[in-house]
Amino acid sequence: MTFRQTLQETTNAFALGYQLAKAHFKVRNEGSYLGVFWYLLEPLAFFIVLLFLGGVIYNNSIPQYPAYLLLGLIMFNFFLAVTGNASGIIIKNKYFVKSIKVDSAAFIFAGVLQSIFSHIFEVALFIFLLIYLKTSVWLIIFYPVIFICLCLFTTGVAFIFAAVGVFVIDWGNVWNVAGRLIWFVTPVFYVLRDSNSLIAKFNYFNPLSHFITVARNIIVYGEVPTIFSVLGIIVISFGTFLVGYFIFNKGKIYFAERV
Amino acid sequence: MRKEFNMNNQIEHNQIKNAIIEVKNISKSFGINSFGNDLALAHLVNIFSEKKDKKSIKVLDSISFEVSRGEIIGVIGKNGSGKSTLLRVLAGVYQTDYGQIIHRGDTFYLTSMGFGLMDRLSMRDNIYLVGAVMGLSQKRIKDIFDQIVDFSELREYVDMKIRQFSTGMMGRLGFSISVFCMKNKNSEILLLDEVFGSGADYDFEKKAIAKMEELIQSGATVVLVSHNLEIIEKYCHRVLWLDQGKIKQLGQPKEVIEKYKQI
Repeated sequence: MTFRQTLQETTNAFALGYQLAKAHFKVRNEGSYLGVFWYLLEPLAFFIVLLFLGGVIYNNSIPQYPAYLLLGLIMFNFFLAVTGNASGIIIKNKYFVKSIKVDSAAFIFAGVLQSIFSHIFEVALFIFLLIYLKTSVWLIIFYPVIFICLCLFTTGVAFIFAAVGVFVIDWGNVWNVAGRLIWFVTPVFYVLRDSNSLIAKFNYFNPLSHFITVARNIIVYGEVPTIFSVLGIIVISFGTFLVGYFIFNKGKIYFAERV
Repeated sequence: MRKEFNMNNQIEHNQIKNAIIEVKNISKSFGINSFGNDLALAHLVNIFSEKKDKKSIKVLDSISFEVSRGEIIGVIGKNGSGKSTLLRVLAGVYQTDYGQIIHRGDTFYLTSMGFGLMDRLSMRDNIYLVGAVMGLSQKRIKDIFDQIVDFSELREYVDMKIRQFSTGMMGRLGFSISVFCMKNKNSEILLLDEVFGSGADYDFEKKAIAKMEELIQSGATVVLVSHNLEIIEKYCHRVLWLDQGKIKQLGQPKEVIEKYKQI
């Protein structure tokens, strides 16, 4: 298959993914604007609990802690939501996969787009928090660039998990546990002070830690990131997307007979 | 009409020489795995343990045939004989283990009417959604939207959520979307698996059969799987009889169907 054909195929899959995401969005909200409330409830509840724990229980000294916490939380939640959904997405859509020649990549794109819809509300919540904290809001304009990289990275991982989920039927359960463990070792609600600790060494190889750190440094603290960190997240995001898409495309010809 | 059509079968078949589908010695097996073999722990254990021979069942065994441009070929056989697997392999939904399939045209595969309908969406949204899944652009669906609605005779319910539809209304909607999408895809090869019958009332059923007949006879190459031998005999130029994954007979409809009925 030529590069042009692959690009056309990907564009078609994305267009179908968009239609599927739109349909799921309508189903979820059933024409009611109150449905939006549910997008905010989970991150808000989690944010309040962690804020309480961070502030009261171990009295941390992280500057701008509420913004630091909420930004880390919504970025990691986006990653968990997309990858968790992808783990069982092919089996969930097995009727389509078996009944028609459809590009399964569309289901992954649909899942990513659905999570982007939810993420927009979470980002709105974050902006409100910045205003409430009387912190500079304008630096949020850099977030879309960081988010595009996070999106590419997450989509790449989602492609891999979707393919694995076809062959390992309890992959969703495995990832549910592993994902939560990674959440705890990623500095979402705390800061790593000892750079020689085991967790710090793990986070050196944890792309999510780098995405979140770069976003916080720019948006919350107004710092200019290093060239190394910017190039790092660009390479990781594009590389993961391409590797994930390649693995998914190699495996997808066997999906219909395995689900 | 039936006799007239069959008299033309041989003549038409002789006129059609160029193969649009070539199936060369294809085989397909499915592994018989227990549920436990697909668990994460089982995969992990398998890495460190000796490889055991995997059990499998052969669903298609050394199948070879050609379909000429414009030909309508029927596929018959008992349940589990490999008919649907053959169609899925032809459509590219399943991969073959051995052999080769050559298509000289684009294919449209349809296995049932009404798949993909979401009961919490309106009829309008479902038409756009299923149309997109079937490969039509939103603009194309917009162009044929009224034809789908008019054919289904459900215009007054177009903005109603389909969870409030009766089974018959769902059948009408599913059939109308599938048939008009198939027509508008304008594919050269149609692979149809048990597509006769909408599940709606008698009047609509008659209309649906007539519409399907019109599509089958529109000049496209058709591979038609059906248990309805009357339909197979009426429309097909040739019939392929599958038995336990092998071709039992391939020939003239009347001859093959008579033999098939004897067993």
